[in-house]
Amino acid sequence: MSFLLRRLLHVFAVMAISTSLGFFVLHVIPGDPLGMSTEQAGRRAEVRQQLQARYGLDQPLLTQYGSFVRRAVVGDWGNSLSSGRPVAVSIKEALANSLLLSGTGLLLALVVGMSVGALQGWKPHSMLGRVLGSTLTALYVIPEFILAIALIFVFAYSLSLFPIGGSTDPVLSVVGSTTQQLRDRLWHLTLPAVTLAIGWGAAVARQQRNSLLEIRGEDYVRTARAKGLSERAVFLRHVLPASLTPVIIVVGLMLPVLVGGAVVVETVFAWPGLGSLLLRAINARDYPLVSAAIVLTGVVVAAGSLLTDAVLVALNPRLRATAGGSAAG
Amino acid sequence: MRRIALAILLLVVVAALLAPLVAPFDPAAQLDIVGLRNAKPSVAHLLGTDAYSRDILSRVLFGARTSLLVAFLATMIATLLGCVWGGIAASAHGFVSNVMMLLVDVARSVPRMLLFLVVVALMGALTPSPLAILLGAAAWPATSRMVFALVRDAESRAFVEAARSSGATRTRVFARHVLPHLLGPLTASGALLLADVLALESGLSFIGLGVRPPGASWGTMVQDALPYLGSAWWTAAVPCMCLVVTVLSAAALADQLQEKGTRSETAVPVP
Repeated sequence: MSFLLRRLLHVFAVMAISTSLGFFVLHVIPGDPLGMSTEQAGRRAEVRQQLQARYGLDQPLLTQYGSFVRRAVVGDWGNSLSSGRPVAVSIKEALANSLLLSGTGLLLALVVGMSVGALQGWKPHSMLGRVLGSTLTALYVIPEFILAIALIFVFAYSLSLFPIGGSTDPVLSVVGSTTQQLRDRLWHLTLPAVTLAIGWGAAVARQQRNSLLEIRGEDYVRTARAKGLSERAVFLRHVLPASLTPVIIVVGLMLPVLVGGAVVVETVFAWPGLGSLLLRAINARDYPLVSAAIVLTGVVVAAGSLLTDAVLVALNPRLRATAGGSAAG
Repeated sequence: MRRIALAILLLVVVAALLAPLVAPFDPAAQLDIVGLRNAKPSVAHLLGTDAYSRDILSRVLFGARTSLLVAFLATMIATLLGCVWGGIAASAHGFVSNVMMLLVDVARSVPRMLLFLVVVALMGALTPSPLAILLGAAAWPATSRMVFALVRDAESRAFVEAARSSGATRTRVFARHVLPHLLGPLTASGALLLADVLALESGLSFIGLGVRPPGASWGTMVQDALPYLGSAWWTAAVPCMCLVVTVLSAAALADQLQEKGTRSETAVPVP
């Protein structure tokens, strides 16, 4: 079997198992989606039964699982139990916001992280390399909500350069012109995206540096040096390209954060993304909404993993020849 | 560097252990909700008071207990679980090993934040030990991947082959030759894990999914202080500083241990 086909099967198995686990955990843990609405409205037992029948909650767990799988394949999740709106619409709105925020953050993290990592790996034992190394470790481990609060304190409270939270201006989003709205979005986006980019960028840079250090000791690097290539040529032609593989793998593992991975930052900045939607949905035991989110996450994780493999195969011809195990493993 | 980091960590641990003795006030006591609301640092309240007029120094000391307890427990759980699982998978070879590592992949593919959201939100706010179990359970796949790689690496080394060919049993080879090979990398990754778990716990407590109020964790203290960032910044700054200093010390220690490991021929894979 070819490498990619093997990986496809593997990823599919992982996805099927993890989403099914998600379903069962959600249903086995006590709590009832109708609890809140029935208690609040003081509804009687018959009403409750009617509602249970309507949402299929009176069926045995396996039958419910069957319909979970069917819905996952078809992509129709029905209506949310808490808001009554179609699940697909709620998810789509929140997903757009999350993708905008996390996507910008991830892109920034990649560009800055890889450059800083390469700079650091170029002369790891110089003064600059050491200072960069300590700074990166610090930024990597400091909790992101503290970064967020520090940024808010400096740039929103003290300097009043950026808004404290939210994703749009409530007035401009209705009456503003397109340019005004665009500028407003960017203005709201800056602080949360930078917060995410700092933490993720530090992770990327650390990986890039470690990978560079490892490759510097390889035989072919010594050969390249022995050929008489300048240190610069060795670094740019032989070391840097080879160092990308682990970085790509780390980025592939990071892709799932695009979906709901930024809950903390979304909460600090009151950003209406998937994370905060999910938080509310879980609190309300909104099964359809949470199930949809679980499957969505599974799909994104799988897609990220496959995308990583495809990029690796494209970059590394050896993987095409040997049908070895997981490249990302 | 390493000494400073160790000293700071020790200081935090001692402060946490002695919290009931050294804390000047009850951490949950609302002393004077009108007069001492967000009071500035003074002689009576060295670090000021929060919006509920609770003494911040006392809360920070007791918060250290919660935060450290959760972080240490979770690190232990993840390391133990990772060692057992990764060790067995690496020694098993063949089908069993493949299935075990597939399950690690499954566990790793679950975004941790989603896992926390589902479990914590469904079970309500947690007490420290279940929270530690949860955090440990989220971290073990990475550790077991690392242990798996290290054991496989050790098995291909000459010293293990030598031990085997001189007739040592499998258990003896594992206990006397493979396990010591793992210790260095495991301490380094453990220190980093500690920093990581501490950060995660505070993040969860910060968004209201961690330690149940009025129990103090550094994360919940920051959450309480957030609305007063403009008017009483020190209520947020104190727990934030505690977190940053502790997490940084643990990470610095991890870095040093890792560098030491790299120099002594054993390369430490980054989990």
